[in-house]
Amino acid sequence: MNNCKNIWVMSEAAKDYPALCTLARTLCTTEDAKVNALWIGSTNDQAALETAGADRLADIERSEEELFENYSGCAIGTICGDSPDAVLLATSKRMRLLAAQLAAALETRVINDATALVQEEQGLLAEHMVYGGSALRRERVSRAPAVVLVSDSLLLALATDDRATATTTVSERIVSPEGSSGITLQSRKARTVEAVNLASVPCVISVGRGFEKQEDLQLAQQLADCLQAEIGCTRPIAEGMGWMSHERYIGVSGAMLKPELFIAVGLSGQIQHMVGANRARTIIALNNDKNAPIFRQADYGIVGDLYAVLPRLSEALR
Amino acid sequence: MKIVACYKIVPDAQDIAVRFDGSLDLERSEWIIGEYDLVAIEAATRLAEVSAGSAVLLSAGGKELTDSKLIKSALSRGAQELYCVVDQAVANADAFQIASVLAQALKKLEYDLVICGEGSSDLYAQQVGPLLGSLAGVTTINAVSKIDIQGNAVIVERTLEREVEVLQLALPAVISVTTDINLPRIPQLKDILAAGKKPVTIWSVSDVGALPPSNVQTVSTRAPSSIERQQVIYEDASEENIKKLALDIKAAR
Amino acid sequence: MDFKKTEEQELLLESLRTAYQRANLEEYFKACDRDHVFPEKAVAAMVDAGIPSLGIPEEYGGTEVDLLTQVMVAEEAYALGWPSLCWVNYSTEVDDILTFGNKQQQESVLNYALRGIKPFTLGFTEPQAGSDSAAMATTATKRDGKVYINGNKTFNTSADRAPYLLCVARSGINENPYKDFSMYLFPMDRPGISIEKLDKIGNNMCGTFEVYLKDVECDPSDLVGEEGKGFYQLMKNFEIERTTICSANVGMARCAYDEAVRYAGQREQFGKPIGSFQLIQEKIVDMRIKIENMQNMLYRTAWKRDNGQSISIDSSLLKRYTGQAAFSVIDDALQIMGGIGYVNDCRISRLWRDQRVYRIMAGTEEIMVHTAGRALLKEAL
Repeated sequence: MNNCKNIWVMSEAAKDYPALCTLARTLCTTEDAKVNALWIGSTNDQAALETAGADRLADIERSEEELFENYSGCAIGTICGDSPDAVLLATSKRMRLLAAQLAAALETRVINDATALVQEEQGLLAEHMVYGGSALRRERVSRAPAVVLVSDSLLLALATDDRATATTTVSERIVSPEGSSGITLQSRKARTVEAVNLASVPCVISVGRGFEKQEDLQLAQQLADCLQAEIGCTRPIAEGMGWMSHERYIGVSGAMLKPELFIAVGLSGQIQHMVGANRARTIIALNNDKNAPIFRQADYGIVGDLYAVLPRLSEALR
Repeated sequence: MKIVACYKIVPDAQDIAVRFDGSLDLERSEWIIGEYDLVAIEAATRLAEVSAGSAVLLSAGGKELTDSKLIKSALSRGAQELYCVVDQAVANADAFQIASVLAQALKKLEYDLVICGEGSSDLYAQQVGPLLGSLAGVTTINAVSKIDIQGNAVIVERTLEREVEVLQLALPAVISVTTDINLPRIPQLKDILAAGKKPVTIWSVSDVGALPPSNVQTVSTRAPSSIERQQVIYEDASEENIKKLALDIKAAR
Repeated sequence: MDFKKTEEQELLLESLRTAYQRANLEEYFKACDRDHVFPEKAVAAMVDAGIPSLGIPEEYGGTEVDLLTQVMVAEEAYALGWPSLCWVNYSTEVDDILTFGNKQQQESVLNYALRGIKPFTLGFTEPQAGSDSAAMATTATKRDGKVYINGNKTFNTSADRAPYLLCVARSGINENPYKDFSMYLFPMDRPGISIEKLDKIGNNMCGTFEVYLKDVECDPSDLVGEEGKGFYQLMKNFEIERTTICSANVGMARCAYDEAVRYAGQREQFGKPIGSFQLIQEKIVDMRIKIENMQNMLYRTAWKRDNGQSISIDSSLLKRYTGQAAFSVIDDALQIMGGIGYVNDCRISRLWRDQRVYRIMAGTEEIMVHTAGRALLKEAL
């Protein structure tokens, strides 16, 4: 894929468009390349979208009460009809579905969760994690079009291009025909998502199965209180035991963090978990098994029973 | 209701070793059924039980798929029958190629509902379910966290980042389920013994269709470079060591 | 000769490991050991996974499986860290009652076994009659169409939890004590039964008791097997018991070995891992040899029994050898751990305390010489 001059970008959230457009521009191979934005949603976001840096905005109007997926067909038709060289989508569950539908229509696969995306001589090169975080895989798109789900971390790292505000966006309103997704929306409720964003706090304490009962997690909370830290956990704690909400699960299918300080308590340090925390500046480990892999990944560690150590450590930090 | 659950066999991530040059050594990894796919199999089995229907399994992959222990393991979880497309070309196929082969195989089966796991435990692209539904041209939805059968209608809950949707699906449909939909059963000996007697149908790719080309090439797969760590480990939790650790924590903040 | 486990055995062991890991038992067992309580939660996890049903006939809701598979499963559980005397698969009790019990006894005993509950405690040993079983003094006296049991039993494991007592008593119908014993099965809550807990050095999770029997009224239908054949029945019981309990020896030794070898590879002294020192390597090698020997003997004994061959000699050899070998493996593991091994926080310390009794219970290692020695000489003639 040596020629990349027609790129489409898409997200569920209007705020992602500037970064998506910036990323798209870095992939263009010609000056006259076009970056197109597609939006399914309300017109309230129009102004923000028009200053995001796209040359063209295709706006598929949808009222909040209607099922997003009923408009996917229209979006796919619009994009495919324009013979894109690449389509970039901000990662979310909806976009994963839409990306697959788009890829099926374009007879290609999706490059998922791209943590890096660059245009090279031989074509578009992407990087993403495989084997539960054990490895990074680099892949090259040998034939257009490329469909790429862009990871949150890549979008966050992108500064908005100066050209963004300078670009004149031509908007067009598209009216979707009657949806035919085979899906009827019966009701929708906001999720009672815990208002915690582990990625935004400097100190995170992660708890694992070394805790015997849910009540015992308060020992970790006491330490967190001393350090103004947030508590995160391994997958079994969130999913198997259900002791904590999904928002607190750190790891390959959960939060990916880069805190100043990461304290691992009663967890063994499996890669699937640690991949979400091993970019921390300092890692502290507390485990009763001296042989636990966590100690090999730690800056400082202590071998001991967490029930005995946590209260005393909190005391020492108070 | 006729239900199909799809699964993929993957190398056990626990035993993946990193060589000195950063490449991966999969040789010590045994093949196992993807952990997310166990959830799909469980969902299909439970649904077949409540709807007095049937649950069959479908997979595509390399020759490892026909390992009789893996087949017994798959069939010990409640499904009645297994269909698999076995071809070395499929062993290294990408999500689009696998979904294409599965979609072709699906044409040979009667089904109302196909259930996939959220993603494979090795690549975790979370694409095969959505691709399969799209390629099969049927109702397709992902992130399903609950399934209900009300008469002839299938009602699902779909858990997204910020909201939960309750959706009615026109059948046939392909859905991907999240891990919190169930806790997969642990096969008991009688299930394991029964699994050996269940029918298994093996197709080659040419029996069902053809493997489409991939337009993405893998350049490299390497362990990420790791950060050098201090490696100061206090081997016992004496008062003095706890005080030292507290100072280390304070210094790091 | 095929040393490979069958696929079914491997899958069953995988199920066991999954159930064990899901239940998150390590800290729990540590707490139960410290507090001297029976690990109910762990047993419940195994019941959910269907483990206690192994070896119980299908007509009673179980899954028939050979003794070899049963000992493999138990061994694996112990190797994962399951506490001794608490295993959920009551192979010995099940075999006893299937061999000698009547329909009604079978139903009630198997029903408990199916739920992972130890169905009965065996009332055999008495304060004055341990290895010398003929000295047993508990009596079963017939009076007005009933049978009255009087006596004192000791070292009864789980007498506080087991719903029944399988009591061996003298019927007073033959001068020769070996032809005078009979077995009775009756509920532990019958009037006249009282128990008293013994304070042991290990096996904290499973209580051991003295049982006092004072005019305990039984019905003649409580008899298990035949009157006067109790001793013979007991010998059959011992063959199975000696085989099944040895899975604990092999499993606990593996558990200690795994932990100690991992530690030897990590623990650094004099600038290198202690595993690089030949004195440690020698221990590891000898531990491994013992484990291999124990495992082979255990599997072969179970296999012989499954194939209808006599295991009266084998079970004695197995019991004597694995009791001593496991003790030495665990002791070496503790030695490799050093001071850490001697603290209660380290699992090996529990194994070290708990395994010791396997050289005593269910026939001391000295009695194993007595039972096998004579038979071996007879065999040579």
